[in-house]
Amino acid sequence: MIKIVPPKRFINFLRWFCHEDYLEEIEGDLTEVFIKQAQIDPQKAKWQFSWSVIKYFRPEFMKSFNNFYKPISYGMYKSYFKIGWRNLLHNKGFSFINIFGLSVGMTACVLIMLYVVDENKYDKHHKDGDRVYRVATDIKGKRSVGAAAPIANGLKKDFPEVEQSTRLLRFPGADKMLLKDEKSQKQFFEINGFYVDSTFFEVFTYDLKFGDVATALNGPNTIVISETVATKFFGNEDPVDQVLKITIPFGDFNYTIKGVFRNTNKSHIPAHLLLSLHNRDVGTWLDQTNWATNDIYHTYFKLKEGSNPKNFENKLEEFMSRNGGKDMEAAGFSKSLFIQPLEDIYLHSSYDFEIAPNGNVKYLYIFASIAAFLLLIACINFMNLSTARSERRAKEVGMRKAIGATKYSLVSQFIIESLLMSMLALLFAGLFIGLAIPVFNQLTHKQLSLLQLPYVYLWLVVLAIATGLLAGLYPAFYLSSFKPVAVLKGKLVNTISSISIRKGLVVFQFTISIVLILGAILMSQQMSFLSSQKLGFDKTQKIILPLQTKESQKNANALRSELLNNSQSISATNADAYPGIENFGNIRFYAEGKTNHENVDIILAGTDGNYIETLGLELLQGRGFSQQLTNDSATLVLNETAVKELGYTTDNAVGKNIFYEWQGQKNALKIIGVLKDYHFQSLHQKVKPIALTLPLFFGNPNSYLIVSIKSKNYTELIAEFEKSWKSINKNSPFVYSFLDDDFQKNYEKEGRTLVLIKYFTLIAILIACLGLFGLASFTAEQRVKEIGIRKVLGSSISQIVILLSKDFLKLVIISFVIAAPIGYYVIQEWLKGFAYHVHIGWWLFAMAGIISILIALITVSFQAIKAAIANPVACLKLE
Amino acid sequence: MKQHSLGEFEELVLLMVAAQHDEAYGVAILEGLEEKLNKKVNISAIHVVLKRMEDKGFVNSRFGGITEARGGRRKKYYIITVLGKKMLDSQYELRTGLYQQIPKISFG
Repeated sequence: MIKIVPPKRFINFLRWFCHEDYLEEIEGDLTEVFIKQAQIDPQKAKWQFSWSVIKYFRPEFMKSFNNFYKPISYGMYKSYFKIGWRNLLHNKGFSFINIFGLSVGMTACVLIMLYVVDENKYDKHHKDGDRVYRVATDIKGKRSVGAAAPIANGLKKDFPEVEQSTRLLRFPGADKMLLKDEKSQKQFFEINGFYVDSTFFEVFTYDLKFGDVATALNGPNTIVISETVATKFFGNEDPVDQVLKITIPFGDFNYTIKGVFRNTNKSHIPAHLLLSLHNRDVGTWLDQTNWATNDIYHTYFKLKEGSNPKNFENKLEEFMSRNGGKDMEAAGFSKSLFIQPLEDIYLHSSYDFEIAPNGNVKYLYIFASIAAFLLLIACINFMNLSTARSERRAKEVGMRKAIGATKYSLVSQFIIESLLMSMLALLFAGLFIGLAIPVFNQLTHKQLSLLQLPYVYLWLVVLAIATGLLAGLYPAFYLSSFKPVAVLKGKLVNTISSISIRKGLVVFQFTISIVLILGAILMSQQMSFLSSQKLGFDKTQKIILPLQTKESQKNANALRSELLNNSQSISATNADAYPGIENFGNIRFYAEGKTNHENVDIILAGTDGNYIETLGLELLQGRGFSQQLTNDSATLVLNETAVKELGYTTDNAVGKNIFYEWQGQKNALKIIGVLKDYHFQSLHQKVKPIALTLPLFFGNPNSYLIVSIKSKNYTELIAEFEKSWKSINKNSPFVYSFLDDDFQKNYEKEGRTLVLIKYFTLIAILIACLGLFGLASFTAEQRVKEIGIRKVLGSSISQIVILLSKDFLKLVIISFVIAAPIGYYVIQEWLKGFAYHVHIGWWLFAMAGIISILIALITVSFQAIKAAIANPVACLKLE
Repeated sequence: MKQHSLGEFEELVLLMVAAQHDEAYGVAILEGLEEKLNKKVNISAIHVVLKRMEDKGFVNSRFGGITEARGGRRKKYYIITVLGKKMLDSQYELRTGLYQQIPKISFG
């Protein structure tokens, strides 16, 4: 006879609402009545049962509301904590792996997030910053963020929707300014001094500590300085109306301080000094009216509220041809303008002539995803180990269920345990972050701190809780779903799905690790490629002395001969540029038999007769400049690329003329030599056409003195050089640098990224290995009897090690297969940023594969060997 | 002491509890009443009344042993208290007193 049971749904409903005190009686009586009735009419019995249940749904029989939402009392939670804590102490190894792994993951995640948040804070403080844009120039697809001088005023005049426009000038050749306070006789070199229009503060928001923002830059020869600079000179005093003498290569000029701004906000303009463009030094000869040439002004404008920037940008083409059509015709090329939103500049703009190197949003994406993945693999560890351990706790779960624990209470127990661990991990993470922040700051050149972001504490706690929940959820539901009878009988509780999920998680972890390993190896390769690549000039043992004052420039030749007297000097040259730094001058030339419309943009380097020899450049044809410079007026030396682009060949170029137009006149220069291509710019860029010219011709003749030396004993030599310098330039400070260092600075960003990626790769591997280690030790423990029996029957140690390692190796190999294409894609994307880069060879993947397999093998075999060499008697006698 | 009242159905249930002395539990009471009254009674009504009377102190309860027939649930046995008995007695007196005052007229 089929046993007829009361409607399950209604029993559950009854159990849900009915007060515990009455439940048993009611349920019992109802069931009894039901069973009796069911023998007569089952359908009616069911119906009656349901109806009765509904009739009980009245206040008298309901649970009291105090207990209604908290069926587990405080005491139960206390017990969970106690049990959780005991479990934690009982399995010290597992707990350590779990908590340590999680806290390392959290630490890395928080550090990266701090970095990402910091990078996102640039230019977010400006009032109406969302309406401010920068105008930049596009010439035949070559984009530069400068614009010609009259464009700023033109925008204001021609467009009613432009509220205000302003310009910033990073003056070529004046990267360093010598500041002197006559009263205190203090003097310092400062970088990042920019010339700005008086409207600057109407577009950008600066927080002035002293002075008035509205009038600070109104007068001629005024200057606004940063708090840091002000403190150096005047301490905490108000320096407004003090006069600073500023020395730049073309002379000394007095500026009146009209304000001090706080350095609290980050901007793509890393200003230390803001000098009025309305001045007696650069202002006069830079007040040009040509729309086509000299795109050296960074031009910003603020749109009126409600204007559409896209529409505005579309009108710029017509604006350019209307105002600058004639100038462009004369210059022989046309250009177009485009705009960049101010708030996006720091992360999204990296064209020519940036004010300072910007951040890169791609790296932020990479970092943020690494952060997320690190946290994820730490969580996965947690889940993996907890589920693996569940077999040990299966009996506990069975007992609890038999005694009457509900699924809900079991889930909350395991979630509480996982929260306990994640909170401990948070505690350790806090400690680790405190320890790691100084190191991290050094690596990233930032001043990050947890205090910077007050809400980060809250955020951290939320993160810990989320991690605990995320990591505890799966084990909690997995454990609480055990069938008590099966568990207590000692049946294996591993279902196929739980094993495959665990394996899947290991694969996922190792996939991420292998992608990171691939990335780290390739980035190292590329970085060493960058520093070892033949550049076409000799960058070692070259000392650069910048001649930044008028005095030192005047004495340039005297200094050169003085330094050449030193027995360690080989040769020396005066020049206005050297490889690795930005060359400012460029002119459009065209070849014989061509017109100005077929011109080629050629970068200029002002040199003397010793440049080629000192830098070790290779002449393919012709000669360099002679020592008597007057003999070589109106001549130049080109590199291969320039010759080719002009339409000559290396063999026929020498002796030919090239032409440029200046103020409507055609001028000719004669090619006297052809240089083999050398990398005067970083390897991000393809070699461009360059011309060596005489200093008499363009630019600032003696910006740098470059000395090639024999000695490697730099300290001593520098001291001697300093003595010579002091004897000639009494009033100028002695500054020097090394050519190879300066060139390497171009890769600073990549270098820093590489270091970070390396560290994070190590962390990822560490966390993944911790997890693998835990799993391996668990498996070994599980199969301890099997191993014992195998040994008794004659298995060798190596057979057992292979037996235990095989499964894990399979997983790592699967991970590798998944990781390789992902890694290939990511690397490919990164390498696109370099014009010259290493090839991605098969060996790279082989190497990453071997490394990951080795790491996994070492991790697993440690446990496997331990299990294999154990005495079988010890494990078999336990029963 | 506050004087409790006793409703009609309550009185019936209480009488049944007293009558089934020490063997009274939900289903037994239900069946007894159904037999005497000759109509269907819902078990929930009996539980409501029992609970109310227990609160008033007319009945006491105890749990019995587990029986297979009830899905492993224990029976809850009810027994009348002294107060309950007094209540029944006073009800009975009231009714018989009133009944005897009826004039001896023949109906029918």
